[in-house]
Amino acid sequence: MDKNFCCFSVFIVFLVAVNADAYLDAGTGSYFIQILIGFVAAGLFSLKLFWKRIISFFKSIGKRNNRPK
Amino acid sequence: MTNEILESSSFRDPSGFVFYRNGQLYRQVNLVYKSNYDLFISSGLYNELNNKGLLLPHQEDDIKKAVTEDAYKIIKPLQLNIISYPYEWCFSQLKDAALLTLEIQQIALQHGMVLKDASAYNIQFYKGKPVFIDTLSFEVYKEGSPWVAYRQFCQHFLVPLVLMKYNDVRMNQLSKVFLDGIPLDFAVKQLPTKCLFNFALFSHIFMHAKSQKYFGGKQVAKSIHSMSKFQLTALIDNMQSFIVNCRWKLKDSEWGNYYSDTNYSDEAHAQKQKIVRQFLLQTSSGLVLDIGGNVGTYSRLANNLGREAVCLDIDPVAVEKNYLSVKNSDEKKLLPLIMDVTNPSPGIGWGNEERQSFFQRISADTIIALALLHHLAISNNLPFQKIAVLFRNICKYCIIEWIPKEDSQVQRLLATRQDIFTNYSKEQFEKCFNQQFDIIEKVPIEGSLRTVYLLMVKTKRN
Repeated sequence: MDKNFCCFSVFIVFLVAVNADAYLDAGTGSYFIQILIGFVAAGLFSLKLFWKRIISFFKSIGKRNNRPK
Repeated sequence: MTNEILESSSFRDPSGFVFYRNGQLYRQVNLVYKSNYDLFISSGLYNELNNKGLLLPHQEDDIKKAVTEDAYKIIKPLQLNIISYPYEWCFSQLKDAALLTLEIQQIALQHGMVLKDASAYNIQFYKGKPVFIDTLSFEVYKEGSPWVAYRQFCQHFLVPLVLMKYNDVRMNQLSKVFLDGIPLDFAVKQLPTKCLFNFALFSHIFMHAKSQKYFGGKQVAKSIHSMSKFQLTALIDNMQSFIVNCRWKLKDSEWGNYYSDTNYSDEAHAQKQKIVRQFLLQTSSGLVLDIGGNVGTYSRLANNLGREAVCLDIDPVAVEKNYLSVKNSDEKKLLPLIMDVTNPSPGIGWGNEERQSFFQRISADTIIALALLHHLAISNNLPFQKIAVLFRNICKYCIIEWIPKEDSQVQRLLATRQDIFTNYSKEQFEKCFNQQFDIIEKVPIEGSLRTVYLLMVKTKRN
């Protein structure tokens, strides 16, 4: 895991800027890992949003069918 | 001549600071924070957080009250009379505080702002619910920037919650040792291997710790940034989902079933409640401090009389049960806290002043100390004099229960040790407490060997 992690980190180093304006020390390692997690989480989040849309679509159909005629 | 006192914990953030004037708390907003503060108000973020009850409301006050010349605004937040710290919270209190922080972060993002810190000390409990108290924690969101407070959030909230769940619920006490949250490298050593198979734990804690170790002390060039707002929202959502589903199963504890495991009859219990209620009516209207209050039965008696109460107990199970009752019943006048009264929270941080000791923060009108004296005097070898002095220093009235040696609960404590407590007698108890208090009334509990006393602090003599 260490070797893979290092390779990925080196790749990320070229993509990321560390913003040092804040009064808190965000920590370089914390910056990099959250970008990596954010990348994966964004995929999962997209699926979640897509799933919610499907559910709400079927719910709206159900409501329409149950409406008194 | 000014008479303001600066809050000892308010020095890290150059955006402003907290001070007291004539016993009231104010916050100075410095000019350096002007653009952030203006956006905080003009974007509607303040109003939304305030309307949802997520943020402690404030009013802008007279700028003439400024302490230094670089003041932009003076604000007066709603005054809180109880301040508690994360190591005094049970699992669900910390969990709710964590979820509040993340919810605020998501709302802030929608208004073009972001939380620049995520300290657990920015949360307080008000009317039974957590509220965010640091108005100056918001800054303008810069497109592409990762969350500057991510590490702090993990160390202050995520790690303690996970350690409480997977290791031991008493792990929250570590927050007392690690002022800026429990270090990740320390946490990974305490967690079981099964945590590696959970995406949130694997990434936010294990990989995060690895990343910190790898990049520790390395110089990194500033270049093209890259974390979209969507990715940031997804990151927060991922932590929210994990924490919502992070549950700690209530287990039996020494005290969790206290009221079904006593030597009391139902009648004696009902009579004890009646006596305490009568005594409470004779005291004034301020805060009630219920020491060793278990699941808060007697604190609620005070609540029913319109009194605000803080219920302390050493047992995290009892405090968890109490907090869940507060939450489920939407109770507004009761704050349960984990506290060992024989070793209460000390002053910690810079100069031992950054986080105040518990007794520096609390000023009670009335103490309730029921079924407690024998634990202090026998389990902890505390002389009556010392107990009386502590109690007189923190209250005006004291409702205390005397439990004689013949009581089965005291016999239980003495079963495994030598009885060296020759001074443990009703006469000695009255004599020692009478040095600090006047005995207003004492009523025996029928069907038991116990007596409940109402004491009032002796007026100070010159």
